[in-house]
Amino acid sequence: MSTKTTPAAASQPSLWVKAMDRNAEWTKDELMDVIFYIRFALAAVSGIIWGILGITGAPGLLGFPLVSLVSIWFYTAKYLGYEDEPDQRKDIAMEAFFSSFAFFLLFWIIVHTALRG
Amino acid sequence: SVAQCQSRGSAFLTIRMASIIPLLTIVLISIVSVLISEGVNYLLIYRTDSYQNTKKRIERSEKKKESVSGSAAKKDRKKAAQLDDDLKRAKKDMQSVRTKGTLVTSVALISLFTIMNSWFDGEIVGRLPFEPIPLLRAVTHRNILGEDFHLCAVTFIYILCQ
Repeated sequence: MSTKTTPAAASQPSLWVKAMDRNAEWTKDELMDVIFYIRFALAAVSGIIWGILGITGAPGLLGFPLVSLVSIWFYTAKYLGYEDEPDQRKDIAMEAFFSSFAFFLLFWIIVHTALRG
Repeated sequence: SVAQCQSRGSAFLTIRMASIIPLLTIVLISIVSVLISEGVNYLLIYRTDSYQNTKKRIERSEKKKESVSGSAAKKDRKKAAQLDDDLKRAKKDMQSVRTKGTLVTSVALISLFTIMNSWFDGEIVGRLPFEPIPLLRAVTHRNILGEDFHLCAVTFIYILCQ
């Protein structure tokens, strides 16, 4: 984990303002919270897009996990420059993975049923 | 002709929206039930003084333990061991409180599942965009007639909502 020491801030920015800041300092809990919300937002958007485009079968099922993992990796490693230890990469990759997948399935099924049911 | 197109369009939308009413009903009922059970947990358990005091006890003990953990002095090691015992007791109390909360939630979920099963049993609530593996068909295609395994039953949607 990146452990840059920081002076105590007089007022902490909100999590969302911090999420856009490439130079922000992160605790593991804060980062996990942001990843949780990003994953769920991505799940809803992907489910709707997959349903509208008519993606079905295995490509649809495997597509979301791939998009989710790549997006989270890109966000944490490239955008935030968050340097984590190898044993924490698994925690970051798996944070809210299964619950966001269920959320994605729900949206995908609803849109698919609405358009092609 | 514009009016005809518009009326056809709105009829199309009405039919399309009607096909997802069972799905949306299940989702909405699940959301409401979770809100109610969490509300009940908050009022009966998490808002109580005993829960709040136990939580503060754990936070205090953890902070004190952190401050003495690095030290090699005999007095500090003894204090750390005592704090460990305090923490274990407090966490055990917290665990029993949380178990009550879990029980309330479980009873709510099981009751809701029974009710929804009776409403939607044998009904096709949605269409899956994939064909489920044979192992899952008992859940996704429960009590639905026919061999079209894309047709979805209430059980699978309810599980996804949880």
